Amino acid sequence: MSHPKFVVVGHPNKGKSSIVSTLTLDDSIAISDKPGTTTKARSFMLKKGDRVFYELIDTPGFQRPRKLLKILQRGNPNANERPKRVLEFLDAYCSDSAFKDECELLKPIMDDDSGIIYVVDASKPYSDEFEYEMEILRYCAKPSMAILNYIGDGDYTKEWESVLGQYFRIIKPFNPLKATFSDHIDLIEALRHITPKWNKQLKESIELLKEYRKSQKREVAKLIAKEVSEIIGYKLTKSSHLLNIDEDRLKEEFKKELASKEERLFKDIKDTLNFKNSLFEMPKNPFGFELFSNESKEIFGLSKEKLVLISTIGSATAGGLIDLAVGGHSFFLGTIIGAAAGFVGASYGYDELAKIKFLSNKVVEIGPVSDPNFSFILLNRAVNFANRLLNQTHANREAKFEVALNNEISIKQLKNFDSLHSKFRDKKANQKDLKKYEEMIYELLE
Amino acid sequence: MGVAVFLPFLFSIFSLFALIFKRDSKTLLSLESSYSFGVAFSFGALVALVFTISVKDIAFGWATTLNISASELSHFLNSIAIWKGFCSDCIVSEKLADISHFVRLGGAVKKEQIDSALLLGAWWKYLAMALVTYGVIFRAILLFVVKVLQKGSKIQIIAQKNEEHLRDISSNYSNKISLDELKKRKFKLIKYHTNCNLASSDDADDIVVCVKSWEPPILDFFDYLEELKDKNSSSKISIFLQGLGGKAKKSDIDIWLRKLNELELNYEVIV
Repeated sequence: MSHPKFVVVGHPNKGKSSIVSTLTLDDSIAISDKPGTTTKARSFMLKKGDRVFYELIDTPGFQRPRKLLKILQRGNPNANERPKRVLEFLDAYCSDSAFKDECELLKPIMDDDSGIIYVVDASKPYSDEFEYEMEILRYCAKPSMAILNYIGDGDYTKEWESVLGQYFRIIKPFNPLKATFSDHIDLIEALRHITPKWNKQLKESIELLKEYRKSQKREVAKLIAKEVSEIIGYKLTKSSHLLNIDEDRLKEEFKKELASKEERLFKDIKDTLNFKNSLFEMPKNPFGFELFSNESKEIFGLSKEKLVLISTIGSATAGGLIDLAVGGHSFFLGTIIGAAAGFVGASYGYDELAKIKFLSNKVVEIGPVSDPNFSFILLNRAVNFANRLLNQTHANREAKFEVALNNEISIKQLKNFDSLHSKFRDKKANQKDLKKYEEMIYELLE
Repeated sequence: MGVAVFLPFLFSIFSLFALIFKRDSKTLLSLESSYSFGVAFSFGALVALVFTISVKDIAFGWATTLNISASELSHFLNSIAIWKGFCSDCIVSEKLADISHFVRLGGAVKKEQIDSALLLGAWWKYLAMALVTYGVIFRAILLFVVKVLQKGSKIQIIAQKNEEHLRDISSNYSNKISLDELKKRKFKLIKYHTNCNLASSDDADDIVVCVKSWEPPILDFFDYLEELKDKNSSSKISIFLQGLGGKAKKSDIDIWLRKLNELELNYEVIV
């Protein structure tokens, strides 16, 4: 079964490759702010398994539209003759290097049963030289739409819309660097309407794309749950003599190990979300500060008050269960003692890293991190990282991460997280707990 | 000379460790260049050695001011000769090290050296194996490792190279003048799909074509300039890069100058 196919064309340096990269979720496409990066037409498909959602063909920009249009207009062909005239041009001129780029972009339009996406930069003013290009596309007589991209800060949307409206039925603003998932869906929705032929298929593609997004989120949640739970329960064992132990060094080594595990987690998230090429040189700390830094604690950690609160509630609940078991004969002492223990424990353990334990007089063990806040910091960093990538288009090659904490988590949720973290720390979690953790993380992903 | 091959190889391995601290495209590029040079140099040295021993009778020798005995030297050189397992001739025996030891006493050749003239040439095998092993094979492996690491960052490397290339081109384009300089001259103004507010003199010979700097140059424009040149063969034709609401941006000017360079056109550019 054939799939929807669109050739992305336009003036050089208008963001054609960026649009293809964003719409096909492919960050291997070379993008540059210098014109002439794309020299050959290249096809990119968005697919899962054998099912192709759609295919986009990236093309070089027009170089000689004025000359080309003159050739096409010779003899003033009528509407019926125009597509034939384009085919004649391809036959006659493609051996000529003068029209190398025009041939590269017109061939896929005429060879295949494809539609046209014409890209303009609406942050720059319109000028009549673009009419040559639009007129040439009209000669191709293929279903088409125009995309208003915004490369700079200006906004000439109205100017462009009034001209493009004369050539294209559908005009859509779309910024490939900032587009959200719903912008992506909107654009595909618009493409559905340029020809009835692909309407049904593109509708299915939209559903599949939504499913695909969900499955990606599900995979990321699973990954974070698995790796974060492992890091929370991680213990480092070293051979060191009881008398020669350098505690500070051991702690530093332990911290380094945890940080490198977090780094691996970030890389796995990146790979899961198809960011395999562009962020290759992503800095070690994408947020600009390390896992064990004060900034991390301030931004990603819970406040001391919140920590004490969830710990107190937790211990009080445990005490309450004892009260319930003895039918209230304990005069609710269980609840009171539990709450007090939780309060003291959380207040005391706030800044503690991990206990050092000698397994024999030659083997020392450190970990897991006893500070409950560490688990929240770790989780929050991973969720933020994933959310950032989930909302970053594949055309956006920036590796700078700004922290955006959008998740307001209720105390009850925090408590649930905390009790699972305790299980991971004590190695008492089972598959059901891990699944629950994954579900809770999934809810935090945007 | 075996040591002279071995030590740079060790240095190459250490330089690979630099990637642990800084694995960016620049480091990878510089390692790639250095390893490529190393392989090429060693291969050249190997060819030169084979050629020299084929057409010349060479007596190898060694000398030192330090208190190093022939047996110590032999022991050290053989310790780095990892090929000795399959090429037992390609090592430096104690006898060979001893007989080829030169001392500074008048630079005279010892009688034993003359007696063992044939043996003195035996060094070449050791030398050749050192070059093959450390100079060519191991360095080629290092080069391969760097290439594999580079694969993932290919896009960045290409972009970086382009960036540097672009910088060079725009700073080297000499045929450019400022708008103030242009205003001192009389010229006929032609607006190429734009509006320019420059004073035009219809009787002037020289032509200035005003074009939008913010749009990338396309071949249609240069075709137009060539047509203009053909029609006005005695006129000087210049390009004025008009800015969007002010002066043209440097990045846009760079793009234009690069294109002019690529097409080997030398129009005067007003920026």
